[in-house]
Parts: sequence; C-alpha cells; structure tokens
Amino acid sequence: MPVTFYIPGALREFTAGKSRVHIEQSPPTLSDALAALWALYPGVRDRIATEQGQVREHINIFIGDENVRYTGGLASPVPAACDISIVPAVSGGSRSCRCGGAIVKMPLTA
Amino acid sequence: MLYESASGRIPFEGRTGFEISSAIMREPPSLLGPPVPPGLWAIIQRCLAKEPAQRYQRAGEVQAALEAVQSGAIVSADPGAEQSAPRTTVFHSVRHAQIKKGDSLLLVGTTKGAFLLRSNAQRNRWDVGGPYFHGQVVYAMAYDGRGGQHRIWASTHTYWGTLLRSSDDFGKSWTNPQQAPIRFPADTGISLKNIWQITPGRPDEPNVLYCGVEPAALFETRDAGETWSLVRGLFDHPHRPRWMSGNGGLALHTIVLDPTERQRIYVAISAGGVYRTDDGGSTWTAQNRGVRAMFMPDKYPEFGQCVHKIALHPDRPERLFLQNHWGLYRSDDRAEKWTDIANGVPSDFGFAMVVHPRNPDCVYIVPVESDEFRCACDGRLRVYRTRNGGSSWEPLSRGLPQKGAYETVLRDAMTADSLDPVGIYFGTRSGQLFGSRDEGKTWQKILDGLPSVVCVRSAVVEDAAADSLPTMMKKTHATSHRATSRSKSVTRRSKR
Repeated sequence: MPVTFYIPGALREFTAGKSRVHIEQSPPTLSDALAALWALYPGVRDRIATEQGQVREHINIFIGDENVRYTGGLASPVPAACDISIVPAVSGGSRSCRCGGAIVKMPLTA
Repeated sequence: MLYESASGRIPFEGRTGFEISSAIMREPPSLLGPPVPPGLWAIIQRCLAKEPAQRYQRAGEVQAALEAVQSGAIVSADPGAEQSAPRTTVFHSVRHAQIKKGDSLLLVGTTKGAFLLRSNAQRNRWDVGGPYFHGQVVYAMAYDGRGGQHRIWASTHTYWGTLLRSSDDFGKSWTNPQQAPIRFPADTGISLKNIWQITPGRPDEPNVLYCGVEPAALFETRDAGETWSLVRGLFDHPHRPRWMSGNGGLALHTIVLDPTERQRIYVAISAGGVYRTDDGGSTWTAQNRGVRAMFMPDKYPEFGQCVHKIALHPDRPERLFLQNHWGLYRSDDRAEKWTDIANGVPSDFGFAMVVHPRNPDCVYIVPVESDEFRCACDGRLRVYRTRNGGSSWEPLSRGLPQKGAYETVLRDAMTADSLDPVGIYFGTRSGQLFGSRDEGKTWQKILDGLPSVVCVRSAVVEDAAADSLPTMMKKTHATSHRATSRSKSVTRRSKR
C-alpha cells in the first residue's frame, strides 16, 4: 500500500502543484520515505532538511497523528498506507496547510 | 471596456436606452461567459460597483491591480485541490515599480519581505514596488550592474531555510532554486543559518560574487551564482572555534575588496573581528590592533572584537573606517593598527557606517545609546558626519524626528548613492525610511509603516551620466562587457 505525503502550500511549487504525493514503494522508515519523496521532487529536500540531512528546526513531520520528534525522528517506522504530513511549526507560521487530513489555519506571521 | 475586452460583449444590455440605463443603475454585471481569471473578474466587478466609493479611485490603482493579476501575484483557490475542505485564500498584492534607464533604485530588505523603490535623478518622489518574499526575512540585498546586467540579489530566510535569490527584471520574477545554492560541505557538520551579506566581486570579473553568512563563513562563486564554494582558508582558521556569537548571531557580515590589490580582501565578523587576506583567500590574519573589546577581560585581544561595520574608499584603499560594538576607529595602513576617532559623537556605539562615494574623508554613522538600549541617543534621530577623516563629527538632523525617536539603524540599513549631490538613505527598525538628496544637510521621510528595515542598498540603472559615478563603478562600465552565462536550472516565478 502506498504511503501518502501531504505537502503544504509553500512547497507545492516543487511538487507540480500537488498537495498529496503517493509513494508506491513501502519505505520502512521515514528517512526512506523522504528519500523517495525527493527522488520524485528534488526541490522539497532543501526546504525540509538542512544540508546536513536534519529536519529543519521549525518543520514538523507527522506519521499519522504522531509527531516524529517523539517516535525516533528520521528512523521512525512507517506503517503501510499511512499518511505523512509536513507541517511548519506555529512559531514560524504559514499559509494554510494540511495536517493529517484536516486543514489547520496557522497565524501568518509570528 | 475591460469587461468588453475580457468577454467580447458589453456589460449591460437592453432594447431601449431606458432599459440599459436602468440595468446600469440596478443590476450587477453578469458573470463573464468565457473563463476569466478570478482576479481579473474581481477587478472588473470593482470597476462597475454601483457605489462610487467602492470603485477604484485612481487609474493607477486599476493598473496596479491588473499588473498584480498579470504577474500571478494574486493567488486564488488552489487549482490542485482534490477536496472541498475549507481553505484560506491568500491575496498577495505585489506591486511592481516601472523602472527605466537612468532611474535611481533603493533596495530595501525587511524582516517581512523586500521592497524596490525607484525615482528619477531628482530623487524627490519614489514609487514603491513590493513586497517581494512575503513574510520572509530579507537580510541582504545587492544590485549587480556589471557586464551590462541588471541583477538584483536577495537572501531570503524562513523556517524552510535560507536561499540566495536573484531577479533580472527588477523584481517581476525571482529565481527559486531547487537546491539551496549556498550550503556547508558535509564534512563541516554545519548548516547555513542566514546570509548576511552579498558582495559583487571586482568590476572585471562579473561572474564573481561573495556572500558572508551565519555561522561565520565566507562563500564565493565564480560562475555568477550557479555554484558556490566555502572559502576554506578562513573556515579552517585556528581562531574560528573561539569566535563568539553576538546578539544577532555569529555572522560574517561585511566583505570589503581592496580596489587595487586584487588578492586582498577584508571581512568583518561579529564577534571575531577584522580579518584580511593578501593571497586571494588562502590565508587570513586577524587585524584588530587598537580595537577595544569592552566585554573581554583583555580589552585589546588579538581577535574576538565585535566589529559592526568596516568601510573603505576606493580612492584611498590603504585607509579603513570601523564602527565597533563601542568604538569608532580609522586605520591608515590596511588595518595593521587602528586609531580611535570618536571625537565629539554622543556615543561611539552604533551599527551602520557609510563612506561618501567621492570624498574619502567623509563618513556617515548613526550613533545609538549603549549596547543595552540601542536606540538613537536622547530619542533624537541624528546622523553624524565627519569630513576630515574622523577628527570631528557633526550632527545632521534637519527633517529627522528629534523627540521621542527611539530608533535603531542596523549595520546594513544605510547607504549612499552615486549621484551628485550624493543621496544618503537609511531605514529603521521601526520601519521608517529616510533620505537626503543633499549629502545629509536635510532629510525627508520616504516611507513609514514598513516592517523592520535590515538592509538598504542603492543603485543607478545604467547611468547615462557616467561622470557622476565613483571610480569603481566607472571601471565597471569601462572594462566589462562579458555576457553573464546563466543556465536555466533554476525556476523563476513572480510570486512567493
């Protein structure tokens, strides 16, 4: 079963406008899933991660409803057919973004 | 007419004149037949509003709205939406200044985006373009007119990272590279935090640029920004692990190229001090003799000073001026030693420092009160000028607020243009932009209500009056006509 990335508005410029991206392989970890995502859409990589491969400070990634900061970070296991959401933290702010199936409105600026 | 040209028919129809006039007075215009961009339809509706106050009040407003639609700056509902879930619609009203040859430009970087102002040589009225990069911190901007180009550079910083962007059409479109062009190599283990300075290289090397970044490091490109490399000579300096972060972070914020010695470059680091290379960047030496470090047990250390700005005049390349975190200095021997020149200033603390483009004895600063308060002394916003290399300083305050003006002018928020008489411009943390067309004698407020201003740069677009340009810019026009190569590996877009 494919996993589905939910792409926030700010990054859709780099996913050909898509708000959802399906990864057909079954990546065992978040790190593998992200590698598959930026193999498809390389432009999202530097927005999500630093040049040293760390998820940026104010970016959160959720597998289902769980923030991966509490489930092992990039090594977090990825269940089959799960949703993975990329969410800028409220400290940063955003246009609208999709979190685990719901639209969350964030303040525009801190 | 707009309705007619968009739809091919007139907005109100009727069999008699009475029917038509009655429709004009009472009925809303019907939706256009062929698909029309939602932004354009909104403009047409507003033009045809029954209540005059609801219509655009000036033709320029219609023009700005149409340009915004044309540039794609007005974004409506996401066409890629799969579901009808509620969503926010973001209207980014970006206005573009119409720029012509001979125009004066001001590039203004703020904590919430960039603005581009234009004026003619009179510089008494400014059109404002922007904001570009909504909500993003634009710490550094630069104009690069070398080799016949009109390139504006900007650094953008958000939680999505820090990027170097450029525009060749005065802001209508900007590069948005897939991969961040400035990045620390893997072996450093360091990640880029911010780009503090963008400095075009020498006039006859139009493909060379430098960037000063946080954490403190120097990057260089030799292919007009396609690829950047870390200057290892400075990064591997044994002092680097002992540089300390200042209030704004540990940043290399100033890059000064010696106009005559091609291998000599100065950089300023907070808090590391001034460093100089005489061999094109392979080796660097700390050049801080005589510069105080108030916050250190040893007040005159070899390095570790919190230098806020250094400036050099191309006609006297051996001389530099320095605004320190406490302290104003001049060096007459390529930064070998520094002499205190805080003669008659209300405070020797400050950030910005600009040298007059034609007079190497003339320097502008904006003193601020103490490192704790960091606001204009006594609530009076005063620029100070020396015309004798720092032997004495005079306040310039005509037209500037002199009561309750708790303003701060940051290190890159002041600049001088190349016209005669010289224009001086500065922005404040409270979002005001001031300018002087007479070398500082009198000041006018150009804008207020901006986000915090962090960077102000000026340029003259392909100036016909080349005689009024300072030496370095004249050389640019005279020596360099090499076309800048540029691959199409970056995407361009007009909105962010």
